[in-house]
Amino acid sequence: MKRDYHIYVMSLLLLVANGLWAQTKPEQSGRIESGKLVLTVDADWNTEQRASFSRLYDVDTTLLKKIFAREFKFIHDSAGWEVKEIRSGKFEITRKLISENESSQLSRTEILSGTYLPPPPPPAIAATDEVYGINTFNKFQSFVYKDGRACFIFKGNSKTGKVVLSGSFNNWSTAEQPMQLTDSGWVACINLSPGKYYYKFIVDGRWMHDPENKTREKDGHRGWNSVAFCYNYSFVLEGFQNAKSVVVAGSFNGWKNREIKMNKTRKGWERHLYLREGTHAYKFIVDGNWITDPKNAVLRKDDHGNENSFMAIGDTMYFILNGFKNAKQVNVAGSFNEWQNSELKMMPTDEGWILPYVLAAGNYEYKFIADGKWMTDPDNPNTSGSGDFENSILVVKPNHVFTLKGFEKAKEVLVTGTFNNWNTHGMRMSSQNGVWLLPAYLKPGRYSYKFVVDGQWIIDPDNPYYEENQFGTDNSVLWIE
Amino acid sequence: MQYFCCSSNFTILAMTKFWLSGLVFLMHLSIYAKVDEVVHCKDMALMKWEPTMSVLTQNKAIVSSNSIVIPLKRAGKLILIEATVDSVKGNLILDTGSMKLVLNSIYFRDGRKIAGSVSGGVTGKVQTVSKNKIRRIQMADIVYENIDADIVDLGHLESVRNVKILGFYGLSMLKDFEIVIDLQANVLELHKTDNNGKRLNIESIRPSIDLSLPVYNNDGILLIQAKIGKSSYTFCLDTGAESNVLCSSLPDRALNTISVTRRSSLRGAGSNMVEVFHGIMNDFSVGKHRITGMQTMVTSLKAMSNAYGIEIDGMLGCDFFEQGIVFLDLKNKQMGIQFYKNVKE
Repeated sequence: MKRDYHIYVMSLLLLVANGLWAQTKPEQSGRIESGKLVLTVDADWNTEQRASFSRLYDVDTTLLKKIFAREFKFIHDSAGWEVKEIRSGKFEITRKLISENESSQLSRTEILSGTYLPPPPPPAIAATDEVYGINTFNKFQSFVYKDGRACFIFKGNSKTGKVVLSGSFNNWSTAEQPMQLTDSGWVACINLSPGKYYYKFIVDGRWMHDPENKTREKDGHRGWNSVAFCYNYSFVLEGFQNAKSVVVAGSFNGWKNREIKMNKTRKGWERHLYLREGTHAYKFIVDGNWITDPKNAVLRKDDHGNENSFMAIGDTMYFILNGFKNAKQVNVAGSFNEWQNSELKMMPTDEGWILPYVLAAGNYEYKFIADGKWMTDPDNPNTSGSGDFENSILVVKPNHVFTLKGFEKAKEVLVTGTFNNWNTHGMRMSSQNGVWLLPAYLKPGRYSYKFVVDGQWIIDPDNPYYEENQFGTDNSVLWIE
Repeated sequence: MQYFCCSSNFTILAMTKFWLSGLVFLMHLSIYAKVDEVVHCKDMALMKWEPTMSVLTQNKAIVSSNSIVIPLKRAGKLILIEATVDSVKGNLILDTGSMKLVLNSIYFRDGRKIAGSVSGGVTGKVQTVSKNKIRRIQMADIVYENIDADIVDLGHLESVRNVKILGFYGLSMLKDFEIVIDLQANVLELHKTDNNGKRLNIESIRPSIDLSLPVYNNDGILLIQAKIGKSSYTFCLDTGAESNVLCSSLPDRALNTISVTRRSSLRGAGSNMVEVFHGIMNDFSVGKHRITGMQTMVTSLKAMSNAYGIEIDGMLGCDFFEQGIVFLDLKNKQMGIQFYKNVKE
């Protein structure tokens, strides 16, 4: 009994200690009591916790400092909060709930939008897709990709004879892609370019993930999205037939040395996979030893002096700089190589300098570096930013062209919108025969934008879709499907 | 750094734009609030009330079978149904709180404008409500023809959720059916019923439910009684809201049960900023079933009560519908719930 008594006292002490000294979490510090909002504030909070509290409850951080400095009267007089120190370093700030009056009335729809979780950031203009991927299945391979045609197969049954294929490739449409019943099951074949796709089957109106596909990701609603990669590349290493294991690693997978195992073939080793278009550095790891690709002559040194093999998928484009014939070396650097200034060396030609390169579809910024001096591309009128921060814009495989007609005499036309966070420097358009143009690669989604013609903001006169903005003017609305 | 990087000011500007455009959107929609008399929401019994909207006879759905299963899409917590409205493809928000079809002015701008419906915007600009006659709506296996719709700017919603939203699709358009909403499977089931509310499709049997309770229905607004702590309150079912909402004038014993996790302001009519709280409901129960951890907002529901012509203490949004399969039998004025096991991921 005595021991039990000790345990009881200890537990009680622990509970009391916990209650007294436990730190209040900023996100749990609010309650409503007797018609008042009560917030618990802890002097032990670090800068991050103080900032979090300030953001969640809209209480200024300078006010927090005043609380910790115990300037209670100032806080009451300036911000209307009553402050009480409930123990050393732990405070409660209290304010009456604003009484109901006509000015605090919200309509239903105003209330509805208050319940919406904060919006995710808009799709960034330079965002890139998944870099690589491999498929894994159970016994049955429910997805086949060959010559640009992807076939999805569902082996199960349908009562109503309605099975639909829905995925990221058709904007998750619940109607557009019905599957046909064949001897092999329900089949839908569609043309897809190489890449990563999410999908589900809709069987008799009900969603289900592909039961045979082991590659899947949470769908955010307690279910799964199946993932299919359409392959476009094979790594091949001839020889090394006595090796126990061969792995390929590269810039595309963060040089992970165990992830992508190669398969043994009659001639050596091979691995099919999806790799995003563009230029990739890689090496093989044969029984733990890193080697460059013996069949690949393209080798480059990184900033640390390590030599890697380079391969590329996609169309080759050329960086060209005319003139600068007296320069000893010209390099190109940009958002595509993390602005490394020594990696991409251009080659001299009769007219100037050139570098063939492969990039995935997307928006990039770049500069030339002639003998250490950074400069924009003198032959490219599309730039962003200004002064030292002005960069040339490069758009690979644009899927939209911003076009503005009827402003032939304008000196400068910019386009700006949600795709660049309404950057007021915008993206400089170029004039061709009096029409202002800027090609862009935009991820699927909704964008609002405006043109800035010699400093004056206007909506796109040729776009029928627009919405009002907070300034009482309009923004043009664009959907990229 | 040699490359251009936009300063955080621009980001803040952009965010401000987002929120302000949201507030403009709110202003547009405030035109729906039909003000009758001021009703205070507090712990009380239901008032007798008159319908504020006439029944839309043309909202008759044309369907080919007795049971339909419609796959739902989600944007945030919102519930979307793919639809083609007069050849425009997109999504409608399934909205148990809407009294009629409401369409987005971005895509249905050519309505006949009704003068006199005015709301003061941030800029003082006068907004008018438009009406539009829609020839045809196709939604899975359901077709509507010649239907009246209100036209409002829902641009803010689209940009918050980054999905093409054609409008709100109210449950009043489905009053002939027993409605089953299953947000775990993301399906909407519609069953034609006889005058007693019995399903015509004999193969489709209603599964056993954990809870059955009366629903007060008036062509669009669905009300139930539920408890906070030991007291009973009136809630409307509203899937147009992502979280629940509680009236800020509820008694202390109800508001005490909420952990307040966030404070923010919304712009109301006449550009007044209104303080609202967000938090977690710790002591909510419906029937004998206790539900904890639902998100809620706390604000005044007075204007909404006025618009509905009935006093409501709270709204149950998508958070509530995510607790289980909800069966709505409007002919028998009954709601059933089969609660999900392991609701939290």
